[in-house]
Amino acid sequence: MSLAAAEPSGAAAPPAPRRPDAPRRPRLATRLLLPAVPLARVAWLRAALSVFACVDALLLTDHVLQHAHAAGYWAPGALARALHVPAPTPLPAGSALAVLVLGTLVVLALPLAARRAPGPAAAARRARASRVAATAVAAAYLLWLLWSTGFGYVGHDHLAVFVADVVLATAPAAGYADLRPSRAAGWAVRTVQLATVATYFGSAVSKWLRSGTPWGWANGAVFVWAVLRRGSPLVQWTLQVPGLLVVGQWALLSMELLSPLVLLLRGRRLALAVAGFLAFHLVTFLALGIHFLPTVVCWLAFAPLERLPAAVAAARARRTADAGLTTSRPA
Amino acid sequence: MGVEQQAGDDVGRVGVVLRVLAVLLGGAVLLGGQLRDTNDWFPLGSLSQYATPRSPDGTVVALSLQGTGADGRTVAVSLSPQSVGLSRAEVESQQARIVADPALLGQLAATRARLHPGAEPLAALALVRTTRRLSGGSLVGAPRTQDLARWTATP
Repeated sequence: MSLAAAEPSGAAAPPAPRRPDAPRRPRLATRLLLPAVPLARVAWLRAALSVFACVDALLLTDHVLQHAHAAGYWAPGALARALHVPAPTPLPAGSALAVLVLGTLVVLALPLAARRAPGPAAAARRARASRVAATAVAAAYLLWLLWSTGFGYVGHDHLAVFVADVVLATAPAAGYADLRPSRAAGWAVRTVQLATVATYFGSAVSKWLRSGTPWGWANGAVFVWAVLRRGSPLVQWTLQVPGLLVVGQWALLSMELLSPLVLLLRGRRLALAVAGFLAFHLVTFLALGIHFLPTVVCWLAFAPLERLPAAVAAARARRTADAGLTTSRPA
Repeated sequence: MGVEQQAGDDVGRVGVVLRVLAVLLGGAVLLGGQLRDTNDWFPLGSLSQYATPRSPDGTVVALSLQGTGADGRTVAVSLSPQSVGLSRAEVESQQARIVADPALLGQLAATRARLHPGAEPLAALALVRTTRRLSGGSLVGAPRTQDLARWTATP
């Protein structure tokens, strides 16, 4: 496995003669699982995923509000049983939703406060508030997901976002422009990346185990079955070409088995690979109405989000320059 | 990206060990979830969505609900959370329970009444299975329907 995947800048530098007092190079596991990443990346990722948690609860898993009237069908999973989570009823479900939305507003606003109130005392207060808000959002969202999945159907698209929710709550408070490196932030980002990739690789493993051979699933008729059950008008024609659907099954299985390679890619190749996965989700959404958005948003963990402020500033400067050019031009 | 060249040593030795162990443990549980093929371990349970191989010469089954009004006429009852509080996949996963105890269908009727106070009341609600046959990956013959369970309201 290439170390360049975790810390390209370190690996790219020529090996310098080490002074005896120079800090020791971290161990392999640290470099792979706790790469130092700019704190801002975690601030952006936490903000994006907190917003997504609200979108998810309000639009995608809003069935929890209806579940709250079907307590007789409550069939909690291991985690819900271990935490003694009761069946949802309207008041607790509404309260969790309120905590989720309000907590998200705080999570969004806190990194902005860094600019208004600098200084160590304010920073310490902000760090505490950030931890409380992130924990509240995480707890409310987890509860919501346990209610969502506690009636017999488990959405496998929620693995990565569930993990992200937990690990991002452990990362330090951060401003949107805070470029100081942090291994705690790096671990959170890396873990979201791993959970995202594991969603695909794990489902290939599941297909293998269920069909008995690595290729048994791909030669079957799952896509026909899926199109028959929930195919959109756009893809009904594929039922006349079963061979094409088998090719599609092979493509999907290959993509899932090769998904861990994404962890080794960087730059343009990484962007291309991520685009490939996103295109797959777009196709399955158009074909079957399956959006997999909770996993889709976790691909953000692969993006250099800390560059957003600079990119926005550059775009704004360009626009101002263009505008200046236009207005100064004689009519 | 010069920032990554700084140390960023904000995690102590214990923190590193705990974080590495957490990743290994999570990975092990997720693998165990696939081997045991269980949804019970969510979020680290089975990732079996569309993983079951389907025979090109097998059948495709889907469940639906069929309501009956007080006048004996059929009432369309969609099997969705908005309609009865549960999705088709949820009802399918609890199919055995419903067949063993059709009174559970009465709970769906009650949920429907609570979510849609203006809807026509149901005198009966049936869980219906529709089976379609495949041959060489293509659909053959007409779909077959069968009542799996039926609940009747007590007047």
